[in-house]
Amino acid sequence: MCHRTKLNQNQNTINLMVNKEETVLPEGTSMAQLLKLRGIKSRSSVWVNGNQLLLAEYPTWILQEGDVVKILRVVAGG
Amino acid sequence: MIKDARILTVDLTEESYKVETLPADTYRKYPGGSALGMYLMLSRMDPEVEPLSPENLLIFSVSPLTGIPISGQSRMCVTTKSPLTGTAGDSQVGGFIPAHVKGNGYDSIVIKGKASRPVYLFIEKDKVEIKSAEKIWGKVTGEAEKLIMEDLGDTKIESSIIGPAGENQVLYASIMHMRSRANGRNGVGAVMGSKNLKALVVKRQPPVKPEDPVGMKTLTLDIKERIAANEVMVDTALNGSAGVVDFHGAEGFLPTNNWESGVLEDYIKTAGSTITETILKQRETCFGCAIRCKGVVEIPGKADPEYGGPEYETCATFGSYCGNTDLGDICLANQLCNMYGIDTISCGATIAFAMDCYERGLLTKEQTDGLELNFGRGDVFESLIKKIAYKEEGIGALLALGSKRAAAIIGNGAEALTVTSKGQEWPAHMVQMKPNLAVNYAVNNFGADHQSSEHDPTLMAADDSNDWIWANMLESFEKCDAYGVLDANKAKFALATQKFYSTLDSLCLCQFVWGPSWQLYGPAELVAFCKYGTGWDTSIQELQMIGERRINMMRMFNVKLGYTRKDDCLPPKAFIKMPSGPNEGVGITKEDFEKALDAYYEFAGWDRETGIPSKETLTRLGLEWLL
Repeated sequence: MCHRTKLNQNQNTINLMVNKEETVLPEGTSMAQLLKLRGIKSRSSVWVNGNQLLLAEYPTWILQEGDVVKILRVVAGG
Repeated sequence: MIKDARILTVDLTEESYKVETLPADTYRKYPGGSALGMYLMLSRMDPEVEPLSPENLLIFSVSPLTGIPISGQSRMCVTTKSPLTGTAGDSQVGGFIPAHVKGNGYDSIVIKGKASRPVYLFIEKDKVEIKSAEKIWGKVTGEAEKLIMEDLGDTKIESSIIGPAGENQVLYASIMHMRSRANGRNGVGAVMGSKNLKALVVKRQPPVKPEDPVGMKTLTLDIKERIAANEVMVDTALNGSAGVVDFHGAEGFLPTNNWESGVLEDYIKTAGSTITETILKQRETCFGCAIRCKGVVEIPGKADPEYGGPEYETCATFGSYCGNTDLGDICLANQLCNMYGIDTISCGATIAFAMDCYERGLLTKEQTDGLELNFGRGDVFESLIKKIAYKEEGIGALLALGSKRAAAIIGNGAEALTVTSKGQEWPAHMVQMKPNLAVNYAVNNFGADHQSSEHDPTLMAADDSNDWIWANMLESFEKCDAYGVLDANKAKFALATQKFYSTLDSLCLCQFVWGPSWQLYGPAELVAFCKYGTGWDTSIQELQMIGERRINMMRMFNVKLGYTRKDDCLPPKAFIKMPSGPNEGVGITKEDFEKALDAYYEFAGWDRETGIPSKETLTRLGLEWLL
C-alpha cells in the first residue's frame, strides 16, 4: 500500500518509507510538515535512516528521496 | 523544615479518638501519603489480620505539601490491607478533600475497630465527632452527600463516601469523593463498609500557607505559559485522560475483548476527542490545579453530569475490554460505578472476563441470570453493575468477588482468561507496547497499577525533550526505538521511575502534574517545591530514597504474609503477540520477562530466588526495624 499526499500537478515528489509504508511527498517536505500531515503530535519521536532527530530539528529537517522514517508516539499515562 | 505530623486515631468500636504527634525527623523518613500510611500500618497492625475484620486499619494520609496552592498537590492516600489482593493496599484520590484534611490540621487519620451502627466521621479542626449514619446507610454516593450536608446544616464541607457496594463489601468497592473522584483500587471501600463507616467528612478550611511565598511564585507565576508549552498538558486540558484512547487506538494497543487483541474497530467512537466534541459539558479541577482534566459529561436520559465523566481507564474497561463502542453505555457504566461506589477498572475488567467465559461456553445464560454476555453487549452494564453492587445471588455475587476468585469458582480453565496481578485486574496499558509495565505489574506490591512507574515511550523521546532529560535525572538510561523491548534497561527504568512515582504517592502529588517525563513539573521543580512549600532542603536522591523505602515497607508487609517471587508473575494473556493492526506481531516473551525480573531484583537489592529485600537493602533504607 502506498500513502500518497495530495499533490499539485507540476509538483516534484520524493518517494520514501514511513513506518514501513511507501509514501510519496512533495519535494521539500519537512519533518514537522510530515507529522502534521499524519495528524501526529510533534513530541513524537522520529528516526530517519536509523538516526533519531532532536525536537528542534523537526521544522528544518527536509526529507529526502529514499529516506526510511520511523515515527513513534510518545504516549504516557491515563 | 518538615514539622511534626499530627495523627488522629479514631476507634470506632470504642467511639473514641486521640491525637498524637509524630516527630519531624520520623516524618521526614515517611513524609505523608503512602509512606506514612505504611509506616503506621506496619507499626500498629499485624499483617495477618483479616482485611474485613475490625482489626484492619483504614488510614487516610496527606503530606507536608498538601493544601499549598499549586497545581497537582491535592491528593490523599488510603492505606489498608486489601480484601481484593490480600496484600498491602493502597489507593489515591484527588479533588478537594485532601487539601481540607490538611487544612484542619491532620496529616493522617487512622480508623480502627468497627462501629456498632452506621456512622460517619466529622472533623472541624479539634472537633471530632462520630455521628449516626443510620438514615444515610444504603444511599448512593450523591444522595448520601446531600443528606450529610442536611444533617450538618452545612454545605461547606468535603466528604469521602462509600456507596452500597462498599456497605455490601464488594471486594473492589471504592471510596467516592465529589461523586466522581475515587479511591478506586484495592477494595478500600469494602474495608470502610466493614467498619460501618459511611463517610469521612471535613469542614472546608483556608489554603495552607507556604513557607516561602515568593519562592513559590517562581513555580506558579508562569503557569499558563508552562501549560501551553507542554503538548500533553494541552491535550489533557482539552480531552482529559480519555485522550489516551485516541493514541492507544491509533497504535493498535487498546486492550480489546478481554485482552485478546489491541485493535478495536471504531475505537474513535469511545475516544477522548469524541467525548469533547459530543457530550462534554464542562471540565472540573482539583484544589489549586490549573489543568482542569476532569471531564463532566451529559447525555439526557442516560448520563447525569452529577457523576462526572469517564476517564481513560473507564473508556477502556467498559469499552474495548468488552468490545463495546457505545459511548452512552460507557458513560452510564461510569455513572453507576460512581453512584454505587465501585472501581471502574476492576468492574469493567471483571465483566470483560465474564464475557470471555460466556463466549467460550464457560458461563451459560442460566448462570448469568439470563443476560447474554457477548462481547459488544454494553446494554448489559446497567443490570450487571447493580447486581454486583448488591451482590445479588447468582452472577452479581460471583462477579463481586473479582475475576480471579470468580474464575476459581467457574473452573474449566477460566483462570487462564483472567488478566490480574496479585488478584487485581490490570489497567488498560498493554505490556506489548509498554513492556516495563510487565515488570511493574508483576512486582507491584498492591497488584497491577499503571501509575506506579513511568511508561516506556519516555525511552523513545528525543534527546532535547523534557521526557528524556527529566527521566535521566533519576538514572542514566539507554534509548529504545521499538515497542515490545523488555531487557535490563527496561528493568532499571521500571525501578528508578517506580521509586519516583512512589515518592509522589507519599508526598500526595498528582502524577499528571508532577513526574519524571511528560508532566508539568519535573524532579528539580519538586525539590524546589519542597523547599519553598515547607522549608525542607532536600534532593532528588533523598526523594528517590523515600520512594524506595515505601516500596520496601510494602514488600516486607507482603513478605510477612508469605509472598515471594512466585507471586510476581504475569497472566498468560500478557504473552499474546498482537494478532493484527499497525503493530501486528509485537509482544514480549516469558524468557525476556524472567530475565528482566532477575535484573529488577538485582537493581532493587532483593534476593533473586525469593524476591525478598536483603538485610543490606533494609539497613540502607533505615528499615532495620522490619527485619
